[in-house]
Amino acid sequence: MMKLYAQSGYGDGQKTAEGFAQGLIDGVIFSPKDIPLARLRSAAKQICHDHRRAEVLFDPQFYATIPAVDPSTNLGNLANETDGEQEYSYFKPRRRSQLLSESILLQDLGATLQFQATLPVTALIAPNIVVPRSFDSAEAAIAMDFIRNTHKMYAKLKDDRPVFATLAVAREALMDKEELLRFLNDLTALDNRPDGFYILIAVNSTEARSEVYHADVIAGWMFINHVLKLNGYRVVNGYSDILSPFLGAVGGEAGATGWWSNLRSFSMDRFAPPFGGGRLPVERYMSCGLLNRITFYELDQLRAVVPEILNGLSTDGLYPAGSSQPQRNQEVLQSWAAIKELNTRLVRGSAVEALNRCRAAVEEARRLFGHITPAMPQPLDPKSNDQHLDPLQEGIRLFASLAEIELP
Amino acid sequence: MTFTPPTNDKIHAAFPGISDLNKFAQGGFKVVYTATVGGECEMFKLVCLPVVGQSDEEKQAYRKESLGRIRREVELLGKCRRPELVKLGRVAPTLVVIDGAEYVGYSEEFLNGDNLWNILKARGAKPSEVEARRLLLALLRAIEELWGRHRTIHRDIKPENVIKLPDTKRPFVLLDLGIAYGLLETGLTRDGGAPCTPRYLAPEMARPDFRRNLDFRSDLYTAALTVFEYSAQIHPLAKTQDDLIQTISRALHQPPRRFRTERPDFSEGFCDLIDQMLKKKPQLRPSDLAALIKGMEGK
Repeated sequence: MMKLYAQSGYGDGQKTAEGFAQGLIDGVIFSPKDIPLARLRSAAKQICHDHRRAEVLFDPQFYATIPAVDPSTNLGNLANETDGEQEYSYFKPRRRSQLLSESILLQDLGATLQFQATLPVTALIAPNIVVPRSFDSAEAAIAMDFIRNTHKMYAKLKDDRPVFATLAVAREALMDKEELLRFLNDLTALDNRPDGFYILIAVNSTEARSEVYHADVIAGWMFINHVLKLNGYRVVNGYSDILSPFLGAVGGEAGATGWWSNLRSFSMDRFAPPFGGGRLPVERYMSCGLLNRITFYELDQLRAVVPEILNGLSTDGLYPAGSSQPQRNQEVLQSWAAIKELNTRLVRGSAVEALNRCRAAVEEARRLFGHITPAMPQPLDPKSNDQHLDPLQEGIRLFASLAEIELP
Repeated sequence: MTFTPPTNDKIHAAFPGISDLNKFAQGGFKVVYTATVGGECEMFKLVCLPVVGQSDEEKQAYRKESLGRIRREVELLGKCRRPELVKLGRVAPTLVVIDGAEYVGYSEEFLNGDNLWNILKARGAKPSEVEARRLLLALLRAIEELWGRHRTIHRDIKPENVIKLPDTKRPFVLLDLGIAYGLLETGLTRDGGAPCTPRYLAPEMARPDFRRNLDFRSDLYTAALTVFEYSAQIHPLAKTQDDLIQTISRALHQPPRRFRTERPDFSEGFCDLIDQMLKKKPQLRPSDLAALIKGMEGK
């Protein structure tokens, strides 16, 4: 069964605790940028204590190491110091040229794993950098070196928890299928194998829906999950949000999502210098039927005329009829419940069976959007509309072709 | 190209330690005999070093290549420990000259069984799933020995190179490491062409840059091909009347028959595994050899 993790970030409050308490999430992925070390330790310990089967992971966010050379980079708590000592002691700014040196790379890899070994986490996540633009790059070679050496450095710790290598890839790199295949060819022939991979697909802006909802990106992400699973690896996807069930259908073990848009898709712009202002985003309702979120006021207009957009889950009660506006801190609970429901509905049986369910879900969403248009006095908000459906369907088709799977 | 082997008397004279020579098979520049060596029956292999090439330089290069291949096969066999791979016999490789031609002779253990190609040709009853699983397990163990311990790819796994023995502890043995390819060695086949049998060609071996990307997953493909053909009595891709181009084209582009369709009486899991091992892209073939072997041993 595809698991769902909280992609934890700034302003957790009680969201993750509530998600566990309601059985909506199976794990959590902490990010050091957004949480001081002492609080991370206590939160992780508490979750392990309260929820014995919960997966507690720590994304070391080492991929910020190259941007961190620029002093204006927003490292948040990654740069925290206590009594003159850096809290997240493994993290140092590095130039790309430094990481081409094996000794520095091994030093950083060892330090990051050693640091995590002291945390109350259920598995370790090895560091890596983001492969930008193309797998035919110096960064891809560095990324492969991190992955190749992950198990070797982990073995020195004599830790019995699983270890995941990080594979962080810019969406542009997924466009060149030949290079992707070449990279995966090397990745699947490793001698010293980590237990699994933590996959991140980087977009340029978390606000641009078309960055993730692009057939090549979806197909490439699914293909990575599929290939790694076939080759015996566990696959945890960070920031996978609504794509989680599509990744689970082809072998992913877990997906993750959080409460802000920058916790629903992964971008290095989270490390950009902070800028003031900006409004809080409008609360949204995640509809299983639409495979998308709509604003609470759109929900209010539509719930009576197209009732199939409602999930029929208990978390629908967080969006009361009459206004449909939820409490802001409960929005993510509804999101988790909906994605968990999609995982349960779609991720079952063989890859072909699950893919067929995914395709049917996309067609059902298309049908529902067809009912919405005449029911709305004005067009849907650009983030609420059906522009994700064509890339999803085409992405599945492209994936099947890459994976040599014949779909009926 | 072929050659006429020397008479038994001349072979006996060149190899005085062997007796009772009986021709068993001949192919290319190699003849295989059953023979008595030190009172035991063994397979004696006599390999002719053909004179090929226009110039002396070319002829020397070809000779060197042929000797290198034999040396490598024998060294590799000597290092392998698993019973799923054929063992060396008592006759160490010896270079001799008979009637002006150069030969290398050496022996391997005698395997009292038949190869899968002959069994297939006889068109008897199709094997059970238990037997097919044993065959896959034997091939996986052989691949693990070759790759895991010697960083070598067999490159010519096919029904003809697998002997079925009437021994439940050693049901199948893989032969002929003659074109095995060590990852760190330079290629020994002339002009860089793919050396294996086209009918049993892993798709990636037909790529011009295949040497750079080759690993044990090519052997996984041909192991699955062998299990498929032996179990279903039909090749998943090739047709008898195909020419070389058609055969290679099918290996590269045509989706194989589904094993589950050919053997619906076999378990779904086993059929799916064979189908997955026959994927064109090596990345799509399950590469965790230890897990694969464990899975096969568990049932």
